[in-house]
Amino acid sequence: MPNSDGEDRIEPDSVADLYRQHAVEMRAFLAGVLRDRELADEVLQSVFRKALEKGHTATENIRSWLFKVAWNEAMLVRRVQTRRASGLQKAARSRGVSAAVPEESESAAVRQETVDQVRRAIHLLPIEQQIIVRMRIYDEKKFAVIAQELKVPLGTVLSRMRAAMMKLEKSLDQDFGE
Amino acid sequence: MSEVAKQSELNDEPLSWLAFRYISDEMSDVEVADFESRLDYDSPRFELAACEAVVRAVRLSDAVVLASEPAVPCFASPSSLDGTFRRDVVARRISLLAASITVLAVGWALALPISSSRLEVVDSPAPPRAEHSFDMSGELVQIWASSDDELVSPTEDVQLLPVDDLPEHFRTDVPDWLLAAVQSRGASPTSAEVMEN
Repeated sequence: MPNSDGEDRIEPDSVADLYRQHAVEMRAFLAGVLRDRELADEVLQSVFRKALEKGHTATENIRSWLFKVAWNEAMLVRRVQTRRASGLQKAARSRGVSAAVPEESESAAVRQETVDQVRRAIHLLPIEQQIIVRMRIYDEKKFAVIAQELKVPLGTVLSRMRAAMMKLEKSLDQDFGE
Repeated sequence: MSEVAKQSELNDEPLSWLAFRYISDEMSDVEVADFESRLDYDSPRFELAACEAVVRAVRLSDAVVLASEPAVPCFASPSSLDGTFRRDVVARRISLLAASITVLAVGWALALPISSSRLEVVDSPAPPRAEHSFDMSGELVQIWASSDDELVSPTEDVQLLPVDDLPEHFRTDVPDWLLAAVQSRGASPTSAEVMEN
């Protein structure tokens, strides 16, 4: 797909369109894989830089190609991060501080109407499911910790959480299916 | 293998649940490797649906976090929250009222000169009465001035009677318009004499 200058590159306008269509999705994917929003944003930039440089070589569906590039870039960054983190952790341990960085809880990928819809869907859940959803996602407690605190078997926590997630997902199908 | 992974083996795991456990870091290393092989485009096990499931899990988690955000700071007790909320509402209403009054006052102050200028325009029919009376005075002055020559011609040898010798009914108060006309003519010796006499 050569551009108007005759170069073997995708048109910048086409990349801008791709960004508008897929950036939110790619960012969420990268945040899920990397578990770090800032890093996800950085990798997102390199994904679309690659799209500008090599998008024309995509033989598959462009969305699949973007997932592929996003995955490869994320793995590249993760390897670098792992190496850097082990060095930082050593340094942090020697100083007696934690290198853990709290993950940002907000995302531009979620619209206010989606949030309102989720809030309504949460209120419709049985109270025992609501408690677990809040403890796991908002308070970021591990399932094992939740089971201990609520004094219920781990299997019960998992099944309640899973049931809750299925219901929440169903209630959001229309919104997320854009 | 973690306890969560063991429990999960008992169930047929839907992709969305796996994706949620993946992004929540609730998977064993084996499970992570297995799931990531479904995300890797170059792997024979790649599934676009797995990538989409990760996206959905992240967005759903974000939405839950935002939906769970308390409207007021968490450190306050429920009773103090109510008080804080009410105080905020009252303070906001007072601010709003004060702002409204200020805006109205400023608006009124600005509108006043405009409306008074409009009143002048609207009331413009009234002043003509004064103008008319002035015009009439002017006319009278002109008539009087033009007739002055007829009445008193400097060339005529007229014997004027002194004012004191005039009969009582001739000695009336001099009207303003007449005085104005006299002053405007100024230098007429005859009229001056008339006035003096």
